[in-house]
Amino acid sequence: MISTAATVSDPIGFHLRAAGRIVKLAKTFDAEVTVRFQGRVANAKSIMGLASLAADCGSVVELEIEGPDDAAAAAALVRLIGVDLAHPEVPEG
Amino acid sequence: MKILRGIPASPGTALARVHHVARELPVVVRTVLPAPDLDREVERLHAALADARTQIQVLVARLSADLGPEGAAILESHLLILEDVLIVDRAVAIVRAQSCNAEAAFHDAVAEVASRLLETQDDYLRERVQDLRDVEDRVLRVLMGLGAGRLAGPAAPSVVAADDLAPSDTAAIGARNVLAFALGDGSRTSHVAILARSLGIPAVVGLGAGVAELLDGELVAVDGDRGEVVLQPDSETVARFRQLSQQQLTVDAKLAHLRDLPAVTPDGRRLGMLVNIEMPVEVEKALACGAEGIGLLRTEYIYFQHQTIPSEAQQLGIYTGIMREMAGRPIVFRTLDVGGDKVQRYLGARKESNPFLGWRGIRFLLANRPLLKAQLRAIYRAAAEGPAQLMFPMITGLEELREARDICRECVAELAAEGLPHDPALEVGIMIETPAAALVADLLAAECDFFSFGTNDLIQYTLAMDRLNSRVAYLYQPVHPAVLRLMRDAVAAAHAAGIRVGICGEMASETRHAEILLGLGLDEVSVHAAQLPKIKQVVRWTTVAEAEGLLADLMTRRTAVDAERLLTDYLTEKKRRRAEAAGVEVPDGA
Repeated sequence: MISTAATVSDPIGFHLRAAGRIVKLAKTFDAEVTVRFQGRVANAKSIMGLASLAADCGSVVELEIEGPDDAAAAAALVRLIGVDLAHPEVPEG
Repeated sequence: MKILRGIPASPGTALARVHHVARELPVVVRTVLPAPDLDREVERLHAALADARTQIQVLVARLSADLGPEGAAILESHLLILEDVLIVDRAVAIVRAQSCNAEAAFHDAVAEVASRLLETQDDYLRERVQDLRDVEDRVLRVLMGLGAGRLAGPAAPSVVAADDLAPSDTAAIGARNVLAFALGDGSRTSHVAILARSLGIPAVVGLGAGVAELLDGELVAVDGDRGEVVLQPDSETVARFRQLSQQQLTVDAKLAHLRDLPAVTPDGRRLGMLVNIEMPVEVEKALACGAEGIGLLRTEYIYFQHQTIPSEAQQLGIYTGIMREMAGRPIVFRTLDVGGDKVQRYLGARKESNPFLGWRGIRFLLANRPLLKAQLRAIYRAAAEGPAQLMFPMITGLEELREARDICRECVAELAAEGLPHDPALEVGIMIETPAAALVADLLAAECDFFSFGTNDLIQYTLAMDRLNSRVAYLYQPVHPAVLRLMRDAVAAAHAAGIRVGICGEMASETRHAEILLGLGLDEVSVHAAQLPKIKQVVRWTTVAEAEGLLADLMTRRTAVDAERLLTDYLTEKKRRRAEAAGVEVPDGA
């Protein structure tokens, strides 16, 4: 299991679309990802779970990743939450 | 006869029968199933989720057709909710653990998530419960085989009445045969209100429980200007509303010939005639009314509609779409103007004790650089396709203007470095909507390319009256000496600096004040599309000398009430004389 943390870079925090991006990424990994913030816990593969963490921009969320591809998942999620959320999503295709 | 009072959300009147859209939540009946049936029950749930998904995708397609691709974004989160493990896995677990039916399990799973959201104390998240319920309702209906037919649009021209309409409901109802909306919930900035204004459908919202009295098939009169719905209207009221709609048709027909004529006074002064626009779908109507350009493109809708920050690419798509439709006519893009009565919680703006004096307009933008830069970059890039201008809201002094222009330069440098087409020479103007800006107009004029008066706020701030507080509403006095003096001096400062000055506030759309604007020496006006021909008619009837004379007279009055009285007498006399000269028949221009 990997424990790590990331600072929410999205200027408005975990709103629905930001949460949606995290869910989409988390679902590409087999690992289970748990996100903790201020005593609340959410599965990173659940949009409503993430949104209900109510994590604002700049808040630090803790990540626990467990599974065969946990290292890759940890790296990708930390990058998304800490860096890429600050920028608009690049449309697919 | 009974009159229900609500909030006027979209102007106009309608007299028609009620099409009541009842939002009856499906009643969940809990049943206990034998263990061997549970696998099938889980399958039934997954099948229902798939059906609901298809339904939403159909709605997305319909909304896209009605409002453009950005219009559908509001439903995108519903698709994600449908596949949320927190809800779906939990519902499956409940079916197995409690041996219950899919309906009860799904209902319980949604309720758990909803209570989690309600616990957060975050207004944006609490409002998302509405999205959850919308999705729940859809899935339960599929499970129960109820169909979604309840929200079909009216078959005959009707007043659509409902407690509230979820975004997907509005999409299902559409605009066909809808003569007016009468809603129990909502505010001027709710989804339906915005849609109604943009489509020119009268709407009254916030009617409260009274909306239950609007029975299917009953004749009602809706007054979207006053925010009233008349139940069981007496014959006099019916006649009055019939006459209103008839008058509207007659006036429209008489004013139609003005469409391609310029707004030129008899003594040769030309006034630019522009329109205020909130949504891309309004462009068609604006052009039909003879708009020479867009004097105020509000961009709040684009953010509101997405419920999140639209990307630079999304904005660019929307902006260039509008530019193409406007075919070379100029467009003034106002950067996002949130705060005040337009609090968008998802943008991080919180409820404030004094929102009109709070974190809004340019203050919000400068504190949210990534958001501002994405919008500026999109506007600069759109400007490569045609004449565009940029306007900043709520400026109070040079610091804000300078900081904003520095960010503009930063964006231009980036775009140049990235080799993306853009217009580096885009004109940058400001709203004059605070007394401070009007008082230092000479300083501001030296460092920007144009002014546009935002009179709603200018009047509110000058006369220290909260325009949402009905007890001080009487202080909305456009001809108050303080307001007229501020406007006169700001116009003089603009012209001394050689920049143009226009107006995009409500005052511009009121025919009553058209001559004053001419007298003030404004170069252009930006109005609601429907008002454009009427304002143009006034301009074509009035010499500059007459208008300046009226303004001079008004400015000798010591009180707003005296000035209003003078204006009323002047307009009445003028109308009488014109009627005499024309032999009675006169379009209702004044």
